[in-house]
Amino acid sequence: MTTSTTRRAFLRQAARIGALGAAAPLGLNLSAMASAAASNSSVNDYKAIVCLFMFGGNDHYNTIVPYDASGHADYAGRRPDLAIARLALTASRLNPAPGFNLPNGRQFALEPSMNALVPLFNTGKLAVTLNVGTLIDPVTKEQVLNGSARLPPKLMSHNDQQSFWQSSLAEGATSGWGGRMADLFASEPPSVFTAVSAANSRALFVSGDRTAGYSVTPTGAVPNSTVLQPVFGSPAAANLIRSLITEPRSHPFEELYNSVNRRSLDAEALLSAALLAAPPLNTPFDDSNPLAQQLRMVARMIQVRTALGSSSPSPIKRQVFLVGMGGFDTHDEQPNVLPGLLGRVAQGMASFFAAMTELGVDRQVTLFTASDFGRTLVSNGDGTDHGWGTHQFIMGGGIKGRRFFGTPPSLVAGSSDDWNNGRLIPTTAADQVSRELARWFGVSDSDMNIVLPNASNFARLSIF
Amino acid sequence: MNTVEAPPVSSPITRNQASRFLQQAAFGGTAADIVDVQRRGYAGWIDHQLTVQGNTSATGWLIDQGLDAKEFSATASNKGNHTVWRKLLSSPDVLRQRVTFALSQIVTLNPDQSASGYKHLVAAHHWDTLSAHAFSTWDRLLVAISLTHGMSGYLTYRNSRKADAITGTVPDENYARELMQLFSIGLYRLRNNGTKLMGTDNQPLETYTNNDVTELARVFTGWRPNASPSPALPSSAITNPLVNDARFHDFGSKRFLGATLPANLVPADELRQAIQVLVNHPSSGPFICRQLIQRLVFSSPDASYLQRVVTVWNNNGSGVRGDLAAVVRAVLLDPGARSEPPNGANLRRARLREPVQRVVQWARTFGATTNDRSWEVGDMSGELGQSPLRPPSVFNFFRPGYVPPNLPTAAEGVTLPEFQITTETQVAGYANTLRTILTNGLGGRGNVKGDYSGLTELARAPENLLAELNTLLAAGQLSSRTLLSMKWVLESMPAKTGNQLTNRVKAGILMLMVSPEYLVQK
Repeated sequence: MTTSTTRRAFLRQAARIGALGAAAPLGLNLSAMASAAASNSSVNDYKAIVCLFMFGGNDHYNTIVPYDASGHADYAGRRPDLAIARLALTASRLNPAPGFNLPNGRQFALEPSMNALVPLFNTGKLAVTLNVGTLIDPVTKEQVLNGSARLPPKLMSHNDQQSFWQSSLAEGATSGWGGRMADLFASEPPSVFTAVSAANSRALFVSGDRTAGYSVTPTGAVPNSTVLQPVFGSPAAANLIRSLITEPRSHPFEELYNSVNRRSLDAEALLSAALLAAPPLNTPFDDSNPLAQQLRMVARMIQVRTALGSSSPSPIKRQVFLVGMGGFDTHDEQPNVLPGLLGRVAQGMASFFAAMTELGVDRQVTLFTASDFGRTLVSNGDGTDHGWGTHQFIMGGGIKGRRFFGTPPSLVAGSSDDWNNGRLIPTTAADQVSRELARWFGVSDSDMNIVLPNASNFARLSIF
Repeated sequence: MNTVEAPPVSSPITRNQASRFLQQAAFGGTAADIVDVQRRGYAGWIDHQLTVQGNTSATGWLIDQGLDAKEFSATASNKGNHTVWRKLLSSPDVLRQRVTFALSQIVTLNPDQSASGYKHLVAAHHWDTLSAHAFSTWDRLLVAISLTHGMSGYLTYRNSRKADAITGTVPDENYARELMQLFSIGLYRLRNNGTKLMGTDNQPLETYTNNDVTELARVFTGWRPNASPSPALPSSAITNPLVNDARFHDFGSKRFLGATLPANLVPADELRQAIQVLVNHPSSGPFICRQLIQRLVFSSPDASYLQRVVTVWNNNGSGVRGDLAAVVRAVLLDPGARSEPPNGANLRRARLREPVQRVVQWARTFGATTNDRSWEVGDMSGELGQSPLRPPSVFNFFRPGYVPPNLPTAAEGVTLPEFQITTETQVAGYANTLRTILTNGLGGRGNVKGDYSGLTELARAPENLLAELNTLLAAGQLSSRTLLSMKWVLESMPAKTGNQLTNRVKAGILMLMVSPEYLVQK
């Protein structure tokens, strides 16, 4: 057995433990294994996947809006106070590829503030997934209602569903599916830049068992002045601080803290220098849009990937990123709040695609959107409540764009898609879409259960 | 392995023991605070703290500053930060402030994420309400919070209406869900020791279904502010309890969590009864008490410690459930907290200090104050990853069940919530902030300044200075090896002038407060 198969067996074991829903750490110190970076050495091209997470549960109904007369009537009839008028949607109608037709003449348009994305869809760089959600197995409404379906734990709970979208595992999981993919491709030892979050706090999606998930601000890494400059006149104090905060510690909590300090110091030196040496991007990113600023930093890190990999044993060939924005939990004031949020999402995505084109990697970088859950179709007065199935985007030069994947849900009350109040029972699994991304990334079928343990319960999609 | 013994009652409290207690029950303290604990004893100190009056309330301070006026309806959010930081940094009722900070991370509210105007007053009133109930009972606390203008805006039940068959609208479910998931019973059925009850399919039993959410949401209909903010005194609209508008309240009977609230109850009585159902749920004790222990003592308390505290939650000795004064006392006096820290690593008896706690500890230890009473300390989330009443969502800064990646196998079941905000960015941000605080002071203009004069003489002999800092800041938990290397550094720094001695003190504080032996509280 080669070292690489040993490592994969280990990872498979890890995936199985995780699939049982155990909140316990996996306890597999994989970085300690003297493993050859087999996957990494077998790929020669560069690819990156970016997860854009809309925290709070985006109202998909007012994002990707039914446009055909019948669909729009169903939609507007059940949320009269929140519905976008059909006339207001004309300019943001999505024109699918010639020959691509949704059943029953269904058509969709984007929320008008998202019109920056319309040209991307209509030129084949953007696709939409319909009624996608967290699932373990395919389910029917009957199975959901009679309790016989195996379902992800705690549907409609924010943190639990964020966890499932990011990791395919219940809350308490210590690795995300992006991080597990990165584990398969990272050099040994892994470059700190293999899996990166530009959003706040430790993001599950980019946490792996070998790759830690590096955190960066929209303006780059934060230099630690207590190490880099004399402390109250004393260079010796700065030197001692460097040693104190980076030395190996026997207490696991202290060691954990110092491991973050080590990554912080090493990565800052490399990243700050690389960003300084590279020319600025020509593509504009809106300074007042925090999500666009995160995406700009991701674009910059992709731009300087060669320099970032210069201290690793081998070049960085695969990267996963997470960007995110909150505010989507629109129980209240939805008409005042949501258009602004969606406008920022669309602007940020459009700028990001332009930057990838500028860098010549638009076919090598794929962005997908995700969110806790969809929302109810019915209104609570001026907003909507937590749902399940939702609609999402996939963007990149390598996808079969200008298409819809999945099945348009029926919006008729009591239909087989309607759990209650227009909460959708998903007909496509988040894992089903994720698996296509993972396959494109280079994850082999035999490794897929490490990355997405439930994906084999679902049929393939043809997104790439 | 988990058996612990309380120290004999008669043994005198050492300075390090007193300091360790203050780091759990307060935000550390001065040498005089340590003497106070030694003199009163742990229980006596708590008894005394229960009677200590705070300084002006968070809301009162805003009124005193002339900020209770219509012109500040949309522009004074940052003053909400100032008034809450001021309570944390300077109010004498320090146990109450520490508990309030803990409560603010369970019953979360971030005014910047709510549609309310007068965000500074919303922040202040939330702090004051939690503070007023810090030693009250959990049901009273939840009733008071549920009737606040601020919470009704944050979790969006303000003006929620009963279902309307014509327009098809239904009551807002937001508060009903988070009230159960986060503020009272949590997701899973728990035993008193915090372990999950499992069903026949070997899956954890859940506490509620979405039907329970929908039913409870009907209780929170018809609630509205009792006056529009008036130009004369906006604070009254923020501080007065909500009133119920019978036109929009659902007066039907409600059935949730196995209880039935009959039809046609007075809405305020119905709300109280609904909250009583939640607090009476067997999961409320383990769910809330574990978080209180996490916020005060250990990140991952063992089951026996939790069970002893939950016993007090279930009955304070007089048949009262959820008595916070009794629970806080149980948390702090339990042998799990008071027995000596272990020599080796015991992950059930350790905690990563929260960033806000570290900053407040600096202020409280070195008597920090402002020269102009402005307390201009704003939202420090960017630097610290944490700032009072500024959680990124209702799920707080971190989750109580957060499990860090890459812990050793032996750490099965260990949680370390505070690590969720410990990123590569945040660790550098904290170190830089601490340096700035020591150099210029805390806050936008650096006008919250520490007083190091009591330590400068000690700085002539770094060994003595470090011994004192070790006691004050870390309850003596830094190793002699670390102290020795710090001593060599300080000895290499000049000590001729007063400024040079102050620099030795500040360098000592900085080295100590960025070191992992300090950051992980045992």
